[in-house]
Amino acid sequence: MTEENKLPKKNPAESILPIEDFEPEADLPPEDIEPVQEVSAVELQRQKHRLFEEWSQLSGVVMPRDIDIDKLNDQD
Amino acid sequence: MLYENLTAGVDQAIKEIGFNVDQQQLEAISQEQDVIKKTELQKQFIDGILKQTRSMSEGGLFNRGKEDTWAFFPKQIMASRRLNCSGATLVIGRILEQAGFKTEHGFAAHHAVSVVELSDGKKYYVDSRRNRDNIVALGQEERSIGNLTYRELDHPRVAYRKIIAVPRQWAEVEVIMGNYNSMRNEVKKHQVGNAAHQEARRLIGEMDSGMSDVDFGLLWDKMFPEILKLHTENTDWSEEEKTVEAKHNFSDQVENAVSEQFADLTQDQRVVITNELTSNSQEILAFCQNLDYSAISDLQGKLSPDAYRVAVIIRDSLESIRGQSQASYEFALEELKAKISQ
Repeated sequence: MTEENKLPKKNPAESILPIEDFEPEADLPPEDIEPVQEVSAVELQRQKHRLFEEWSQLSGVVMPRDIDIDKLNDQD
Repeated sequence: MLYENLTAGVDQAIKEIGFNVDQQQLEAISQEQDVIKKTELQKQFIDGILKQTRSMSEGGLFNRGKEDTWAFFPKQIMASRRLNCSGATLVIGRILEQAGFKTEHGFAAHHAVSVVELSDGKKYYVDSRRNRDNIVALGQEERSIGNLTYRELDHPRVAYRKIIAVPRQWAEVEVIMGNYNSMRNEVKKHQVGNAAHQEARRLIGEMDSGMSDVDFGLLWDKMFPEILKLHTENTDWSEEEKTVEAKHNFSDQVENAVSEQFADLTQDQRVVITNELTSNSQEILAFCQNLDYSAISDLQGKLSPDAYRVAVIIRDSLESIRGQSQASYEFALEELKAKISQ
């Protein structure tokens, strides 16, 4: 065994390289952005309902049943 | 409403994973009267949280393939016990909020960070991905970018220059929807793909049985027009993204080359090579900057063939970056110096 290999083991996650900086961000990258779609108010409302119904698949917590669709998020 | 439910999920994840929130540290912060000391204690507390989130994140020269790319939503964070940068901001933001800090979500180019106000009155960039230079004061002035505002980040070893701070209440919903849409798009684009694409396909397969008619792209457009405009119309932001991409090219090239060439190594073998590289760091730095024969033969004599191959990858990647842009080369070299001086 070489002298270097007797050194205390360093966590590979703390490599000498700046690896931690370039994790590809999974946020919506520009190339994934499609042109804004024209959609009817009814369809948009239906989509919001569907989002609400399925949101618990992402959060892992059951959503309440007394839904006010216009308060889905603070922006909307 | 979505945010409240999301936060309940984040709380559950924090509890289930067992993050340690040091109450004694918090007590010491509350007792401290001196602003400078209080701010330092706050930084130490945040650093303790970052260490915990970082341990759940991908990182390290040989760790590509241990996928955390899609660990952005509470259900997946709990299932995988991993965090991508967006998932980390959910957890960090919530822990710090509960500890009494004023926190916001930070958009950085192709990255998610936290923005936290400390007792000195400054807002700080808090980055879950970095081992060091991960809590950095932002400029005092808020500047406009589209309909949003950003603060400047001026640090020689941090690639980002503009950090957009927004309320977590809506940003976190945006992040979940944007990430989910990206996950679907990646599956559409890549029939086989890499480990991240395969993991995306598995998750979509599990979840889309119920959500197949939810159009995340459409909802994202309509619910977050400011972010859409930022990505599609704002030239300042696209410049920021290009600059950050160029600065990260070096690391990207190194990681891709290393993970391709050393895919079959065991974890023990990886640790041995990492130790070898670390203990010869100054020689590697000289080797990377000095292409004459003596530097090559010096290093060849000191390293095992595998470690030497890694050093060559680092050197070649650095040279390739130098060919593209002197500024990116200098940034990459600074990063390398900072890492090997640890």
